[in-house]
Amino acid sequence: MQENAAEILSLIDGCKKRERKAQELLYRTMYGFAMNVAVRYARDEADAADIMSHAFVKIFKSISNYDSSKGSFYAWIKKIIIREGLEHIKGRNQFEEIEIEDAELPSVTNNTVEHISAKEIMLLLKQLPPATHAVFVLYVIDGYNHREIAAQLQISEGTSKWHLSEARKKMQKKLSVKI
Amino acid sequence: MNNLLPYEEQIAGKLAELPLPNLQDAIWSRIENMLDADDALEGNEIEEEEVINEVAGNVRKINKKTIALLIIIAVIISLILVKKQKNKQLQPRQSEIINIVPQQPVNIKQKESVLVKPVLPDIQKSRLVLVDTIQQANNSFDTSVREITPVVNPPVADSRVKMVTLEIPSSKKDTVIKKPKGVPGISDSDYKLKAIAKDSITQ
Repeated sequence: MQENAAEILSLIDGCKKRERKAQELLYRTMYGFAMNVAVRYARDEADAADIMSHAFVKIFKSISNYDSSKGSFYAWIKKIIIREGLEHIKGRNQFEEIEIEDAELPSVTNNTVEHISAKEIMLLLKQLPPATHAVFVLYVIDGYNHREIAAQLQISEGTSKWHLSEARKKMQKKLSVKI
Repeated sequence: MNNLLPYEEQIAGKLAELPLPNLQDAIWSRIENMLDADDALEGNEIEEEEVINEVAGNVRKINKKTIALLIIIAVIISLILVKKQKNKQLQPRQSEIINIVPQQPVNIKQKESVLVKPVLPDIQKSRLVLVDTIQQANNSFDTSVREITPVVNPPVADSRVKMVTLEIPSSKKDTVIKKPKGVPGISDSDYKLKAIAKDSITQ
């Protein structure tokens, strides 16, 4: 792990000097991690590839701003990829401003996910409306809170809560149908 | 940490195991193309900047030369103007001297006319002067001015002149008294022959 970290730091130095070989090696090293993030926000593989390419160009352009003392390189890359994924979702659909006081949480009776594969879960997620999909992934998978989601998507916290509630209701329905 | 429902935790765990599409090379070629395009743009921008800098440098050099030339021209013009001003300052004095010469006879003539003709307007002027002085005296509380002003009264002199003019016959304007010609009591008219008819002298 430490060897990997040292290798990544040396690649980052090469990328800061605009060395094409270092850029390629860094991309290939980070591909699995980055693609895993990109896929969650993409509708399909082509969309994921689009998110990845745009995100990595931004990464290489702004890599001189990366400060290793402020955080891990993985966290920095993840942030950029999520932002790019959200840009893609925004491009697909305008986020509706829905103001609600409290979102009702759906009742979950049992663990139905155990029998479903990751691919099937992804297919269910992609059936959600783009904004609801984005809020669900940001909240459940990437661990953002409603305040952070609201800031990222430029919506209110109430709207973020409403989208999460909608996502939970729909996912619950879809999962129960699968079973 | 967000409050996740149990099935959500399972979803998060399962998505981490998600098989990834094998697009590594395809995506890299896209990234490489985009980076090359950006580098080309930046290169062009750098070249443009270099060209702009060169042009700016040339312009600065030209500007320095032109500024120096302008300063020299300005100094020369200012020197010429200063010289001209100095010349102008000298010239008017000469012309003044020249001008004064013809003005003097005019003044003399005026004075002569005043002497020859002690006319009424002078009296009026003196009266106006009197009135002014009296008014000034009235305005001021100095009474001595009233005593002094009658002494300066010019009409007295004018009346004397009038007296002299009355004694002189109106036909003769000369003031010099000539000696009478011929025998006293006989005038020139006594010597003239009066013609009664055309041939009366011969008779």
